[in-house]
Amino acid sequence: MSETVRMSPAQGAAANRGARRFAVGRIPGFGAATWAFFLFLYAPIALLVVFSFNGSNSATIWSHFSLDWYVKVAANSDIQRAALNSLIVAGVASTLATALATFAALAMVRGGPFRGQQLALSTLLLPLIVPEIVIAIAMVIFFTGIGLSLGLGNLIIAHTVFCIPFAYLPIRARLDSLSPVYEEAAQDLYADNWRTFWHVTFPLLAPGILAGLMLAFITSVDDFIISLMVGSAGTTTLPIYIYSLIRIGITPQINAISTLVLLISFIFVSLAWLIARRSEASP
Amino acid sequence: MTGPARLSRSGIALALGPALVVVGLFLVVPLLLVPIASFMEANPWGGVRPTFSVEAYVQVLFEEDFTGELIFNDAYPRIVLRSLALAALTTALCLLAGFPVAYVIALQPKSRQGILLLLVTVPFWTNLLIRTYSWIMILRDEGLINNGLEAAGVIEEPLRLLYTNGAIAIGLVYTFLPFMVLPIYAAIERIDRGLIEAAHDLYANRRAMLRHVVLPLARPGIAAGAILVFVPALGSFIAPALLGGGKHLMIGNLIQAQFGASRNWPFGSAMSLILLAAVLAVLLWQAQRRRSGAWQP
Amino acid sequence: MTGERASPAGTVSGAGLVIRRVTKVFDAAGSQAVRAVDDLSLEIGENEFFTLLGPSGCGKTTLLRMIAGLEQPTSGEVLLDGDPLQGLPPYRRPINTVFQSYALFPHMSVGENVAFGLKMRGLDSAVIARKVEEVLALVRLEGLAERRPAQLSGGQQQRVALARALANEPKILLLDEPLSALDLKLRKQMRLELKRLQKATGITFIFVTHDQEEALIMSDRVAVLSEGRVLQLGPPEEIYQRPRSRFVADFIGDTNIILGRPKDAERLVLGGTAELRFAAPVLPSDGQDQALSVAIRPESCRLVNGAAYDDLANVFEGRVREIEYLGADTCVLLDVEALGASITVRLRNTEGAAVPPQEGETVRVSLPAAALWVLEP
Repeated sequence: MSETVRMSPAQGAAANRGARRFAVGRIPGFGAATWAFFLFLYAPIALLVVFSFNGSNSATIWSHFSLDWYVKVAANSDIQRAALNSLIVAGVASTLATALATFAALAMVRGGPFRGQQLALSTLLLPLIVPEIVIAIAMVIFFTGIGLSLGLGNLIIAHTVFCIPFAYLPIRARLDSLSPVYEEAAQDLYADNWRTFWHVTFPLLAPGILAGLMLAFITSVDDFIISLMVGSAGTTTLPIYIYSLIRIGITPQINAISTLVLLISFIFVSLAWLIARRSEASP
Repeated sequence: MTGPARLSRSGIALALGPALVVVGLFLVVPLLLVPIASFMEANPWGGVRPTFSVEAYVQVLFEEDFTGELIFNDAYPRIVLRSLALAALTTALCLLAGFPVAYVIALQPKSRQGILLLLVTVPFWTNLLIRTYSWIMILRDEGLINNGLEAAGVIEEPLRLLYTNGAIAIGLVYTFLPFMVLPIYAAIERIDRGLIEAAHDLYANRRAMLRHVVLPLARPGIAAGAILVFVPALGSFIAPALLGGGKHLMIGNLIQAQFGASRNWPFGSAMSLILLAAVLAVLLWQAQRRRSGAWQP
Repeated sequence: MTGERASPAGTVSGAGLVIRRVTKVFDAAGSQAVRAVDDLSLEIGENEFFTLLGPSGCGKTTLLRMIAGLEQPTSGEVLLDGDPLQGLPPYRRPINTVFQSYALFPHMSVGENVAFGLKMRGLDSAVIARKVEEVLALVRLEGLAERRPAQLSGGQQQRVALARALANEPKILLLDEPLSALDLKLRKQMRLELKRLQKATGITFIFVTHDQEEALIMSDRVAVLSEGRVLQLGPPEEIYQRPRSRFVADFIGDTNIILGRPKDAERLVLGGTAELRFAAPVLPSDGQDQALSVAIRPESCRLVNGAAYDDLANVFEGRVREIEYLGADTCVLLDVEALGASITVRLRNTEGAAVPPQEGETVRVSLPAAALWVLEP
């Protein structure tokens, strides 16, 4: 038996070479596809940033390095007003949505099975299922129908609604992974319901709440179509302002605004990532 | 789990109530108004007149000629079909581009997976409008591609790249790629690496291993990714508005126009219902497949 | 709330924990309801190390959770020092738990974990600080108060969980398989440690385990549970040496079981003509046709040579089927035709002990009458 398996030294060396080349799970071409994928993902963004520093009036033909466009952006009061509107709407809406979503998640997870739970979940996630444009026109019809025009207030209501599922999902995920044994231990150690929530549930849930808040905030700042349709004259948000600039004509000023927005997003995401990593380290 | 961690009935109502009231009052009720509005007459100043009318639905397929005769008009059906086709194309392209990436990431060491996933999701966290705008710079007549090709002497006249269906498809793929990669990654990541080794041990080459082990086990992820891409792509507004110019519309743009310049709310509402019906059909079809176990590993 | 023990230690009626006809039914949606605890009654005295022993799913953890107040009994009642605990939430019971997973709050330091219960009870912060220090010393974790639970080893986490519960000086400490997550060596060490802590604090420990060795080593009394009922209750020696039923005999240690019919009060007929003698008239005199199970521990069986022996030695011939070397002991599995059964004999491998037989060899085995007992049908 053993003779048939024995190989000559030359064969053995060949097999060794083969083994070195064969890595389990590696598919030829997939690596290159992945590099191409990331190039596709980041090249347009990189290009956008580069041309924000273009000295000429063109967003596509490079002349020389300059910060002129940033100076122009800084002096543009319309941009500042739009950015402020975006911050107000996103700040208020994401906070409201996160508060609503936190208690909803607690009820859904710690409420055990109850009647109507599936319907409640579908309702909470409805803004994810209905296309944005349909949400937008439904709200336009509704607000017009009841004659509600609060300016930014309308926008805040609309954003709160569609931010709820974005806040809900990370909080729900955190709560699902949180064993009820900590709450039981707290009760065993003389903490009543409210103190159990305050001293144990809430601190352990905090990373999920923070993630939900950030996701809701980003979603709100990013929103375009609902803000466009629900909004009125004084409620121009940053995306709507950028859209109107693009309609007028392509200049590096748009690149400069975009770069600033990108920068803020990157800082935001990195922060969220670091927080998530820290909370993973201490579950 | 019973015990004190469980909320009482009134506790559930108190905690869940506010969120449900907000979504119910400001989304469910408005959505119920959409079909009502679609059966009313358009007010030329915007809004609707409270008079029953099926005009909006007639308008989907017909137009009136000079004599008042109804003749078939394929403009709107074509927009619906284009939307479906572009959403399907986007889904296919996302799958093609996303699967290898999801696979490669899933088989990286754990420590490296986190940063790679972050890289996949960062564009998703950045502004959609800005991301779409960056493609205008690349695709337009004086854009990066045309300039490059002209400088290389390949072409003399700029190619028509922007304001085409292709440009819209690129924009949509660029927008929704992360939605495809993430669920497929999650599905592949769950696969026991021992299964891949077992497949090779049992004489499967790489292609056979992919086809018979990874692909079937990743199917729930692929299905989820396809839904996550197709549904929002179907109703998208920004990519066709910026990259399709005025000519290549999708349903989203059509609906928006009815509530903007065209001032035909009933027709816009009717088109919204058509879009909603298409989305629900896809979701129900997928739920059906999942229930019948077709997607289960 | 705690600390005031009105009645002295002992078995004064009403003192300690009384579990009276408690039943717990779980309604599983879609499937049949599960009767986790079934009409169970127990009395646990003060200052006792009491163990609930049983296989997983026997209801021991459910019983523990009902004592803690984490589950409500479907029927029956739980009394502490004569007072019903019914309706009291866990945070109003002078009872604390060491959870199986320890449930140390990951966002608090060791010191904050231990102080938690004291803080919730509104104790003065100076008192709390002193108490935390004292309890950490008791479990030998001085100087680790600032650490996070994640920075501790499994054994240390276990001690923190103990300290956190003991700091409250509960009347009863519940321990839900607290040693199951530790490795063997640490487990053995912690058994002695737990026993020491129980004696040092004088608190009643109710310990849940599926490990019979643990139960035998630590307990003053053991209750063997199966399917939500107590099968046997008594001190460890009694449980081990005289398990009443076949289930208990099988669950605790290895047992040889022999079937037969009583001939008279001292003799059992086995199949054909072979007889098994008892040292005392223990067999039921009535119902002579009833089949009985008789048990003997493997270490009580002996291999005998030609040496002289009397009737009470119960010697039979058997063929060696298997030899199992266990280090300190050797197990010899015999087919004994006269008994219609296989008998395991456990021999100690002491220096100079007889060489164990070979497989296939025929040997004589003695089942001393004094080591035999009758199992309940």
